[in-house]
Amino acid sequence: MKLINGILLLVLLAVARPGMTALTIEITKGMEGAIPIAVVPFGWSGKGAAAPENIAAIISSDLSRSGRFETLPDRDLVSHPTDASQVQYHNWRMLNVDNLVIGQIRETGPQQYSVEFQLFDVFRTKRLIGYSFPARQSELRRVAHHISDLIYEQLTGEKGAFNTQIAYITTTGNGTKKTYTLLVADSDGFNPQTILTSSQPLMSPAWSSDGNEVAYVTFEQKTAEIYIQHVATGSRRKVASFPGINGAPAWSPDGTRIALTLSRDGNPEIYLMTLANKSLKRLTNSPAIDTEPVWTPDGRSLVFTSDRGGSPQLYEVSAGGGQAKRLTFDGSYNAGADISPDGRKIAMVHGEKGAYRIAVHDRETGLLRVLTDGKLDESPSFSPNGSMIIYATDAGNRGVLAAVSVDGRFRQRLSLQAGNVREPVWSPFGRQ
Amino acid sequence: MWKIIRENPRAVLYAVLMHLVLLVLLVFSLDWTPKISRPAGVKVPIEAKLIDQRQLESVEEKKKEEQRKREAERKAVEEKKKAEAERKRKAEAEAKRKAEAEAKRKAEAEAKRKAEVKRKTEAEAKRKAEAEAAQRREAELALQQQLAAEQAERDQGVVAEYTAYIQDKIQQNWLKPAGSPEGLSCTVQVSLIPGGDVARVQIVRSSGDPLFDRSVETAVHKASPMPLPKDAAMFKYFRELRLIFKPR
Repeated sequence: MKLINGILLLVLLAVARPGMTALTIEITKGMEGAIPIAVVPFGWSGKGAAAPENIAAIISSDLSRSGRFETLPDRDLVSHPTDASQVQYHNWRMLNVDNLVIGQIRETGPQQYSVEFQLFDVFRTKRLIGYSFPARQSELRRVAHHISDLIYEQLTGEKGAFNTQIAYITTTGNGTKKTYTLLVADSDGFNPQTILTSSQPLMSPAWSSDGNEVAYVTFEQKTAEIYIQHVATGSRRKVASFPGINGAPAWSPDGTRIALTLSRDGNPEIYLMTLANKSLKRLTNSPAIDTEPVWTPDGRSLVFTSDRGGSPQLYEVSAGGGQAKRLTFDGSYNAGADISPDGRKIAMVHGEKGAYRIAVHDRETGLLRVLTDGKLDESPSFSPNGSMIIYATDAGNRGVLAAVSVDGRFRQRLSLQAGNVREPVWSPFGRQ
Repeated sequence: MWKIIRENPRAVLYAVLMHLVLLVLLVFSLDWTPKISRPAGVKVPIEAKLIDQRQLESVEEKKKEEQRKREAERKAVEEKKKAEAERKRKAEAEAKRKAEAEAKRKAEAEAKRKAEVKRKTEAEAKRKAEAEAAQRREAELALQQQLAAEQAERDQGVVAEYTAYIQDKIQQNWLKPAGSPEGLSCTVQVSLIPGGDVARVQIVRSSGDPLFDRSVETAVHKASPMPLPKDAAMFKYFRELRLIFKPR
């Protein structure tokens, strides 16, 4: 009513003195949704009928997956400009797309390419950015993800996280002939690289803060041990092989320590290990199971899962030790935390009425929001820009990779991986 | 009859005498001339034929005497008549003069009165006409004002209606950037061309957030053409819009 009065008053003013003052209109509401964007297939000049990678499709897929963009289907493209001079803004305006991406791939030598792209603002009729990148064939996908990042940052103001990687475990085979594999793939699930294969279980991969190394739990020696492996070179070192459980490694933000779960004192507790000298500091002390530690971005405290209250719930404890404080109260099962890069949100597996879903707890409001609707979703991990969460979801008795935008609006399964996928973890920005 | 004679012997005598005279006159006149209408003894000499000199002389004498007498009488009468006539003429002249003067005075007074009446009538008519004209003007003005007020009221209603349409269309086309800080506000000045197409968008007050500003500009362009009233006269209200983007 107030608003209506306001409008009426403004209208009265405007009518009273036409020409003197512009009609004033307040816009108080907007739409929340994806930015419409068209990514035109890139032009190709080189041998063969087509470029070795469909760069536009990769970009399109990246942008859609983020939940922040709605890409125009190829069949709706009114024209296929590859050059700024061919861009006719009104055509794209009619399709109501805010932005337009065009580009070209040129073969510059054997296995050598040049990829250039330009991003246009259709309604303001401006070119926003344009870059050219040299690339070997194996780097084309990465270049595409990098372009996605540039577009994403230009249009959302947030850093893009497409040119990052995910590590995860798969199991193939069955019965006694099972194979466990640790893989690292692009953020869209493509280009998987095997880091380690074992006939014994592999668990709990964790990225170093610089993104060059992965810590994981392996049962290669029939008992749980924690290794740290350099992703590019494959070299690795054993960091924990204590009696009992050696599990759930988590790198400190400064990269000097790992938090881990050990049961060497009889009961699973959270410890901190200084990597330089492998010295240990016990952080929790309860008769219950304390596990799955993660560091807050400032490195001052850790969040972990404990069933000390009767059911698995999240607790927070200072990195210097002391009393743990319970964080979650909704539902009978909240476990497997990951903290957003800005420290404001905690993702977890939220179990209620027999369904396990990914939920996000807002640390400021204390509200819990369920983002997924699977039956057995697990292992949430924030993208390094905090906009998305990758997780594993059950698809007919096997796990597959899936990603959900932090607002829960966009959810998508990633490219189908072989085997049963578990425990995906998103790399930090560092690895590029 | 006798009684009258006895009472008036003189009168009887005179009457007898008069009769005799008349009888004589009658006898003579028979001989004179049948022209009775001709005045006796003025121009035509009377020729006596059958009368002897004496007789004639005495008659003549008598006649002369009588003539003189008559003449005198006639003169007297004439004089009297003349005087009378003169008097009468004078009186008449005087009366006429008086009458004329009176008439003139009256005419002048009448003319004056008439002129006065005319002047008054005319003045009255003029005053009346002027008053009527003024009244008409006033009424017309009032009518015009009323019409203008009614038009303004109608305009106002239409402007309010279309303000709501425009607001709605822009809001439908405004993609608020996700994750932009709260409390941002951006004001743009928008120029429309008839038909509602956006000719120009100018940020007059930036939110300080480039993404927010860009979303605002895009929203305005996307809402083009703006819904406008069909009546082209209404365009004046919509030529320039000031849009305040202020999410609540």
